[in-house]
Amino acid sequence: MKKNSIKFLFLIFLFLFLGCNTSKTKGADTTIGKSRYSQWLSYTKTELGIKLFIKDPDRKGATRIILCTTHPEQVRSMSTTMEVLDIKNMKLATNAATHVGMLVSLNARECIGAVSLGKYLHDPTLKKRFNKGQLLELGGTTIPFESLSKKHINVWVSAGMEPLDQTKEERFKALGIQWIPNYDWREEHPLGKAEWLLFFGAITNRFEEAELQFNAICKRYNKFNKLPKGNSCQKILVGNFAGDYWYSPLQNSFQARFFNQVDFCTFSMNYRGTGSMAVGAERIYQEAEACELWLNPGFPTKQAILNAFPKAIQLRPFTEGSIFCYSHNLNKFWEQSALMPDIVLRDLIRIKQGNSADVMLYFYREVK
Amino acid sequence: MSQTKSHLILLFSAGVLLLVVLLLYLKTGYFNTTWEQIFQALTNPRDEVSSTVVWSFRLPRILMAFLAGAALSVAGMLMQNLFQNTLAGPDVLGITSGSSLLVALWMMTGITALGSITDLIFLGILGAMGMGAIMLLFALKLRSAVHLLLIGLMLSSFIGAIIAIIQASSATQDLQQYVFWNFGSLQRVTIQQIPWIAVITSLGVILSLFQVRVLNAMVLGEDIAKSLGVSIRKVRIMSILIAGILTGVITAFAGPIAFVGLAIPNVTKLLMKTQNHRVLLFSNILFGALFLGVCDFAIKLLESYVAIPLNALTALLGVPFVSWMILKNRHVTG
Repeated sequence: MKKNSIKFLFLIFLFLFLGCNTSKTKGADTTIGKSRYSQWLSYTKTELGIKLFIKDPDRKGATRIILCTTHPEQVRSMSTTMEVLDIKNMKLATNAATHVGMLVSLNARECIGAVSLGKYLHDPTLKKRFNKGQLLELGGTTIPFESLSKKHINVWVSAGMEPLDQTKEERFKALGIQWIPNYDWREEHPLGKAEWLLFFGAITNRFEEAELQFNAICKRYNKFNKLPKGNSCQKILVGNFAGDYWYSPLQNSFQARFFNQVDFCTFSMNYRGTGSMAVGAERIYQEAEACELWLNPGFPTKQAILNAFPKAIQLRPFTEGSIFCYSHNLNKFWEQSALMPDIVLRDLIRIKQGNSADVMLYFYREVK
Repeated sequence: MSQTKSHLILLFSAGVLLLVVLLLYLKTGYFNTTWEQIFQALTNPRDEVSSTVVWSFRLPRILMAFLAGAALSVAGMLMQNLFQNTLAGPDVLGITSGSSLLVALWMMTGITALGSITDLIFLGILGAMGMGAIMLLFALKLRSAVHLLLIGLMLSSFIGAIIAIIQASSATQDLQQYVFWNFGSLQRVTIQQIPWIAVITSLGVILSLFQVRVLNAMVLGEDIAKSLGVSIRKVRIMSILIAGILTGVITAFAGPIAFVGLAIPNVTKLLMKTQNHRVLLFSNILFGALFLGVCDFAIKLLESYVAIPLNALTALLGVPFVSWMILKNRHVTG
């Protein structure tokens, strides 16, 4: 009996030990990398640098593995499946404001060689550099290959909205430019989006700094998340009309995640999906009757809302409630919000608590 | 049965159908409303949900659909007569683009001269007339219909390029407002704006009515029309002026709406089998209004299942029709 008990205890111990061991190795697995919140990015530290694993959200199983190193000559012959990125003299082009915000946060402004449009810049230092002609403007839809080469760009960080076709790939290769997709906009969790800071940390040789910043963001976000938020499931109106339809975020969308954390409810959050739901005017009129708060109409003033959508005057939050939006400074929002989900969350909590004077809010303002 | 009788039957049927669409449209929607509530909302509006729904959402939208359909179809008829080309229409010849250009400039530069509604109407009409005049200059030089259409398409692209440049340098908010407008929507119009649009559209229709005699003469060709005492210069100016007014006012309020001005005048000719522009004018008004009313009703019915933008539906119906018409051109009168 005693022997059996010892055997049993030994088995439990073995089970627990293996269990703990498994979860530990999962985090440090060098073949898939680790991530805390991101769905599409994982990473691992190696002796030669940071290894990034970028999963393609549209192609199951397709993963780019990139080793970011300052010693590319030592690794080029080691693997054929892994790409090597020389991060010694990084000069990158980016076509997304969130990327710019993350690079600014890492104080890696000098690594930016090209941006989408100068008018979308928020950071004053970068604006100055742009006005002096030190930054290339990528402009519209065509890629200015020659200008990229002239500016000695070696990496194109793309928002990954359009896949890289063979012609473009060949041209990039010929110019010695590496095309790297960044799927931060496909993340559903606010901290998942912020985790892409580590991607920029890796490619600009500031990984430790990025880790520190990201850990601080997570800590603050989780702290704000624990704050009391007032009444549960407060009904709100979100979005605005585009053409004949009103677009409101679905349950698993990035926006809805924030609203969920704050216990805001909107009708479209009852439906699964990561995008938004299109509904007609009458439905919105009915939904608005139960709401006193309207978030993210996309315009900074009531007059601007009326110019675009005159029937807004029929919506209850417009006449009797309050409206909040981040549109008074869109450049700031797009550049910084991905990296400051904690502040977005804090703004929303304050709006919910009625603690919403302009000085109390960072991104949002009341629409008047 | 005489042709006049068949015309009257067709026009009467279209009128009845228009009324049916209007009533069904007022009855159908997200809110369940009874006929009694609709009647009461129309005759004695109170501070009730049904009154708000009817007066704010349903009535202005369906009236705008009728006005837009009628106006664009009449504009299309005038363009086809002027250019002696069945493939002419306000959107094909770049007239809608001209309107879009000035509205875009106004929205994205924020310059206001006469007040928002007056500016919008004035610029919409001016842009449409400007492009109409440019197209007319080309029409005087070019005999080939294909060349003229190519010029129309190129000018539309040219204007598109100018708008793209304006967009690149405009503030994000202004750009957003323009993008929303450019989607094309019957929903945006309020009941207070409907009288403005109705008066201007009626003005265009009345002016067209005065043109009927010369439009009929133009069908015989410019030389014969001249010999009948028609001043070609005056016809051209009037046609462009009227088409500009009609297209401009609709585009200003509802955004660019495609294919109605091209398809409906041709459908009308096929159905009415006549070149009498008095008949064609009234037919275009009724068929155009009916077409866009039915399109919008379909959009509303399908709203809970699928979101179909207005321009997507008009294009879905218009493109196959125009393609068929090009292939079977011999079936088209004129």
